[in-house]
Amino acid sequence: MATVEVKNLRKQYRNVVALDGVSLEARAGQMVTLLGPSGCGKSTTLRCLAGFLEPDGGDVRIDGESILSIPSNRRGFGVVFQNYALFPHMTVAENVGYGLKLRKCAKSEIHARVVEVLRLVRLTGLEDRLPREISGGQQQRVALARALVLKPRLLLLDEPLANLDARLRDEVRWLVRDLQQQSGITAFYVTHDQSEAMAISDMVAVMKAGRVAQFASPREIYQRPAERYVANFTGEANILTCRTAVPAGETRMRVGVGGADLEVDCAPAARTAGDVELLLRPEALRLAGPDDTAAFRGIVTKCAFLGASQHCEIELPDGNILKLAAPPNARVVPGESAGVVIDCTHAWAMPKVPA
Amino acid sequence: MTAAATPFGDAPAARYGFGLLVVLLYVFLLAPLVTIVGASFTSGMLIEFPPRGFSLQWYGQFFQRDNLVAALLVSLRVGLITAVVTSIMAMMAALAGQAMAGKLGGWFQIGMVLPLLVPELLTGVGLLFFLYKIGLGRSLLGLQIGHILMSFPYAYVSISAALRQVPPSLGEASSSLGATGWQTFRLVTLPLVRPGLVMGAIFAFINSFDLYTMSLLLKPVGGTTLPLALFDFLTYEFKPTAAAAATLSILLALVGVALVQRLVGLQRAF
Amino acid sequence: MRRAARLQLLLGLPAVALIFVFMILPITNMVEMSFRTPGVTEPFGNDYTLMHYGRVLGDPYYWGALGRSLLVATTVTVLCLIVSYPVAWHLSKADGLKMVILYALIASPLMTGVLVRNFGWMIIAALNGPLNQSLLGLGLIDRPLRLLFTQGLVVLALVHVFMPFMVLPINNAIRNISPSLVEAAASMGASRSATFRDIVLPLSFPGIQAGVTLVFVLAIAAYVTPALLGGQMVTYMPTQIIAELTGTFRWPLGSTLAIGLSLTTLLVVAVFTLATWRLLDRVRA
Repeated sequence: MATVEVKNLRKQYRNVVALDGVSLEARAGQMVTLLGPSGCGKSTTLRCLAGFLEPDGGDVRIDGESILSIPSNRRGFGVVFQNYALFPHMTVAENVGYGLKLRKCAKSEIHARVVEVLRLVRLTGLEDRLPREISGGQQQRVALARALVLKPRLLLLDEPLANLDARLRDEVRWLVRDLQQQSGITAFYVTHDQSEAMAISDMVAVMKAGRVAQFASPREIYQRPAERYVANFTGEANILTCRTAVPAGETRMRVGVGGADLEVDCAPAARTAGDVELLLRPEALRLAGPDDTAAFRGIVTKCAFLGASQHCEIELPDGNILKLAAPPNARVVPGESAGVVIDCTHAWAMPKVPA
Repeated sequence: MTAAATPFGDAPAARYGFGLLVVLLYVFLLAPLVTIVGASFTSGMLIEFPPRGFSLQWYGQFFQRDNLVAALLVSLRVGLITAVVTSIMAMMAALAGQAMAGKLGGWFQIGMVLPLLVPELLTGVGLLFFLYKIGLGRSLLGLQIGHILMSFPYAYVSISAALRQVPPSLGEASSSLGATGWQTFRLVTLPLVRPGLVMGAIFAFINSFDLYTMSLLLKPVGGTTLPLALFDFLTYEFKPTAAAAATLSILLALVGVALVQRLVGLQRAF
Repeated sequence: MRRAARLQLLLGLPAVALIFVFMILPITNMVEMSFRTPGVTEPFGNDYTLMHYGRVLGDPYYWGALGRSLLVATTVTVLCLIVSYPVAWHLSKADGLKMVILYALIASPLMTGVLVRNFGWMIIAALNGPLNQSLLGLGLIDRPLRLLFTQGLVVLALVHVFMPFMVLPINNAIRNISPSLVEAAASMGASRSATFRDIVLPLSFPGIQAGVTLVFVLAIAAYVTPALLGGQMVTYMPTQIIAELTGTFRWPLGSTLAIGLSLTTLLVVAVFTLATWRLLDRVRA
């Protein structure tokens, strides 16, 4: 169990700034996810933690002690790579036992611990296979076992599921989360997949161009994003520019948008911002029935049947397009007019930040 | 799509014409080797092809010629030292090249194969003067240096190609599991590049064994390599002994080809 | 950069030292040598002069040797390209065991020494050798041809020596052409030969360029083959250079000739590269 503080980490390559002051912290036993598109600095941050890269500035502290001067091979962290990085010339058991062998453990102890950890990742029986003889999902579980068998202070996972197909991804994802929680290891997890990030993390850091755009719990990141960038990256989002925005109470605002006048929760920064944007997740919107009073009216431009629901797009008179989920059997016809009802408890006002 | 038999379509005329052309070109490629091997087994007194009868007498003759055998031993020894020294140096250089980024890495790659890019004659002439200047002119050590220089790029190209096949994440994984740089090299990198390393050593050995111009310029007083001895032999006494010596040389090349195929496959090597 | 990575760079030092001390320094040294006065008892004198350059530039004998070398190298390169392309194309279409065998057939001569291969041609081209015998047998000639010690045989043997250097890069270039490009051309109605002419041939140009440059550079500086098969009558640049260095011991003159040959080679390669730059640039992936 370890607490980790990342303070103002900086890294520059020639003329590209990869990390522009990244600060984060993980409390003991937490799973912290770094989420963002490629090039946002999430992998660079992880590689600085692992000791594969030396940051130009800032600090990384574990239980209060700086680790930057310790080389990667003496940090005692477990690292799981996107491409698994299994040693192709060693069997599954040899891969998992490699770190123990380096620590000069007795053969019998190595064997016992390898067997135990392989049981945990449900790979019993594959000890003598070579990595190329097992499936991608199994390979990733070997990589996980190899990191866990050393009981690391910190577990670092760099897009561990990116090379797996959708079904395996789900299975390995829950395994990672279960093992991390059982063993209580503090972990950092890099991904560009928002649903993965939501599902397994205690805290999510959404990264943007070498900075942390928002660091909060998954729920907060999704429902109360700090800005448009975070909202867009964490799920389907309708973001409307407000014509008027007036503070209304401590944490609320009255906003005028698309012909409607709504009172919604808001980010603190929105109260003083010049321009305000309104976030409406699809679940905040509903097609208006005959008895409803629609907040918006518009023309249906698109409708696709998805099975459990229909994906609809409605163009408002001011040109904004609303995306929402309609019940599977609702009658929605492109070209016809439709009304939309807003659930204001799911709406969120945020400051407009230049991209 | 089925593999096309010719670049010009599959009409029978095109097929047979192109097929015949390719066969003739392979005959051209192999004719000198086949001729030499054949001529070495003649029971007659002259170099001729097809050979007259069959005998191994010229191999016996070869091993009785002290100057040829001495030259063979010099070639083998110089070749072995070249193979060992170049493969160690090339392994180290390939690791250094891996750590270099961008432009520097590009220049380093070019520098390492420079002896391949500059004509042997030019390098040889320069080296002749230089060795003379530093007091190593016409010495076995000077010859050895020349061979190492000319064979180094072959070892380097094979080894650095093998090293490029090892993903950097393996080294990082090993380090994160607690291995020092040396442990990672010994337990992870070396086993994975070993075929390329051995292949590099084979190429370096064979290149050294076949080197002519460089050896001619640097040959030590009283010592000579097999190709040099063979040249003189051919110029002054044109006997089947030369064919026997040349056949040994061809045999070496065939062993080299077979080993390379076993180690990494010919397609990847060439 | 991490300390370990910096240490890793140091591993390159022995190799860099090898190339620098025993190649770059000596070649620089050779340039200096070409400005030395001729020696009396030593191979070179102590003073500096431009006389060797004047002498080489003014003497038609050296121009003749350079001209012959250029002509031979150009002929060898062109012939090599012509005979190698079909083999390279054929090799690029092979797979499995057939591919291994074909590669072995090309690699075996490559890994056999130049001297040994030239010796093979001496046997083949002898007055009563198999080539003359076959030509006589086919009734193409009445009496054996004198082939040994002719320029033609030098060219033939050099084409043989350098053929693998042409086949392998062209083969790799053709292998790198995506099959879907050929299929796309076919789907648009191109015949096999049109596909070859318009798609495969241009896209294999990087291989041709590499092969042509390599073969030309190696051919113009080739020493063994002209020395062994060319006889005493004609001189080429490389044989002349070696003669000045190891025969008459006129090192400054030999250096001047070597520099002249290198500059000529560089010029030809530069002109060829510039002339084909646009084509190469276009087909680069």
